[in-house]
Amino acid sequence: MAPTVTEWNELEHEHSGRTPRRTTAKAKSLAARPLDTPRRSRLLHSDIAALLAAIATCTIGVWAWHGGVSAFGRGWAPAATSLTQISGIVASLAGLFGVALVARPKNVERAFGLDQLFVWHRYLGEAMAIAVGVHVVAGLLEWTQGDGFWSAVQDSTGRQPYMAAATIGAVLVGVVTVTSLRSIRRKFAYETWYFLHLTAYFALAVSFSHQIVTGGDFARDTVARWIWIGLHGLVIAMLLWGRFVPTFAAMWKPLHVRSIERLTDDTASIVLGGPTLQSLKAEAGQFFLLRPLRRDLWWQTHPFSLAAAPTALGLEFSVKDRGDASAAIAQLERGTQVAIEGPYGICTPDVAAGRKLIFVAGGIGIAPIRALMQRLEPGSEPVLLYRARRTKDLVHLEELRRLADSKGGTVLTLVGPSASLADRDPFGADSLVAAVPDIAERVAVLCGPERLLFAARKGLIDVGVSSLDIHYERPWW
Amino acid sequence: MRSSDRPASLARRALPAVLLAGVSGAALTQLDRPSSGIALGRVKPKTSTTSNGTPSNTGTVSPSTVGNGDPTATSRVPNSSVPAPPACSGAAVLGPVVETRWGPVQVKAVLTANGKAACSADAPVTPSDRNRSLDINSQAVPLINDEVKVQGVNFDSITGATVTSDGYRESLQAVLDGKRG
Repeated sequence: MAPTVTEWNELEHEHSGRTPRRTTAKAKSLAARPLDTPRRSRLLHSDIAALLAAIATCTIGVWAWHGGVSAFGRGWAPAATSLTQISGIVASLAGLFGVALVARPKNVERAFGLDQLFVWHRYLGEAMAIAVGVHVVAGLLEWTQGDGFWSAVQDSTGRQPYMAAATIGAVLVGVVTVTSLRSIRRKFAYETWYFLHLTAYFALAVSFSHQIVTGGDFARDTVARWIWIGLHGLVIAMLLWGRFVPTFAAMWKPLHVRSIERLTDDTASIVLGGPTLQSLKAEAGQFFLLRPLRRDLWWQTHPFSLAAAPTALGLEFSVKDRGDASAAIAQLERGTQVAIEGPYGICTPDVAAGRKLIFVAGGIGIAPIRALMQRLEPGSEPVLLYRARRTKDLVHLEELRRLADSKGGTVLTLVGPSASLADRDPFGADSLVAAVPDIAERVAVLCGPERLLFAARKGLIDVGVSSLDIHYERPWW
Repeated sequence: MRSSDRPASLARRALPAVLLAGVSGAALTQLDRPSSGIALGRVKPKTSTTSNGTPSNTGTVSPSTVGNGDPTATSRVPNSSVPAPPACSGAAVLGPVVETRWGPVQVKAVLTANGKAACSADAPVTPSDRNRSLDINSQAVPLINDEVKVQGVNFDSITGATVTSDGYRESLQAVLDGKRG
């Protein structure tokens, strides 16, 4: 056995003969008409901020108009009422915005990426949980003035109309929040967590009635009430249009597995084709949510990046058995129908903006980078740092070398468990500069496990790459 | 590849969520017991007693009858049928029993000297077949009693206890008309 090389290297002498050439043939056969590129949205952060600020100003303005602010100067009782109202409004707004985001509005997604949407969704969820907490405490305080604390508890758990529903809503928000704390969420299978998370819709629905009937701002102000109802209707429409329609459309006209080929003992290359591809727009670097329409898998989706530049003939994905349903997906039979949602992601070739690229890939994270490399212009001199635990995990290596060569670039690999490496920090600034002298001038695209992303990001920033020039999908599942 | 790996079933993954939703739904139907009078317990007394300054946050009261916690909105002009305060004729008289949807209501009232108005009233008999009726009326009747002192026989109905309110009003009106139980 050849001694393992423990720093970034070209590994030229070792594996040139062993990677199957079939991949090359496949790549050629798929080199049919490339799919059109989805247009990037021109929305800016400030546009989103302005829209949210406008909605928030209107609704919070209603509260202020009704004397919400001045109530704080009239003693603790009116203050508690006012605090109950404003915290309730804030909680509802955060909930509404959060739901609007997971409706995956195309404009927003095409500007910021689905991962960013989920990050914002998380912030909004946290804000909502805190606001609901304040709302409950302030509401109890307010009603305690009537007949004492116990009476207030009885009132708010059902003796007042619609308050039982509101209490259930608050409890569900609590459950959804707790199960989404990272340490607790890890204990659940993704789908278990996801279905629990869906009860948040139930929470929003059951708490709506008490807002309209009990909430002082909406019960007595017809205009405010209709604005509030309209806002909810809008978000429901977004959800139907952005989330349910695409899912059902995809299941109605699914793609099918055109071919499936084993790359290593635990990785397969799967190509999906079908007539609907003709009208699909997608670009290398994007990803889809795959829903295999098989008895035991139809109810779950799994995100996979395009492993090759998409063409009208087929979408190629690399599927690694990570011990869950991906094992089943890696073994789908030819002809199996697969519904796809997407494409998502903004880490497309245009992030280079005319500059040279440095790719960092870890393991199966090579898939989108292979697709991106296929789309690069000749002479673009890309450099790929390809990290893997085992030599045989370096899938597509031959093709990547060829691609890099044809564009004047290089592929550097580093193989072995982290503990075995001579260079303890292969993504440290020194190692990066030693491997790629002009790295600081490049635009970086990263893909791989979370630890690799953060290590590489830190190293790149240390060598002077702007954080705006480091592109990657934040892990959100 | 580990061919023995079988994806977990939908039932197993969805079970916690379905259980949670089911428990929530069951709790909802168990907990929901609105309109038991408390809704007005905090609002109506303000018409007769001093305002405690609590803004009404109870949806069951229509905006026209109860204000927004604004003291000027909660004060109410007493009904014109209420006489000048003096001259109550000591003895309480029983009104006729009025059958309502939920059971009998009977009023006992202290009248003014001329017998044209009630100084105060109470309802010793109210529907009692159901726990819910007992619960509601134990809270609603004192409220109505308070209202009668201020508004007379044409007092505002207690939301959530409208049947009792109507029976009470009918019995009281009968007393004023000279009928006795």
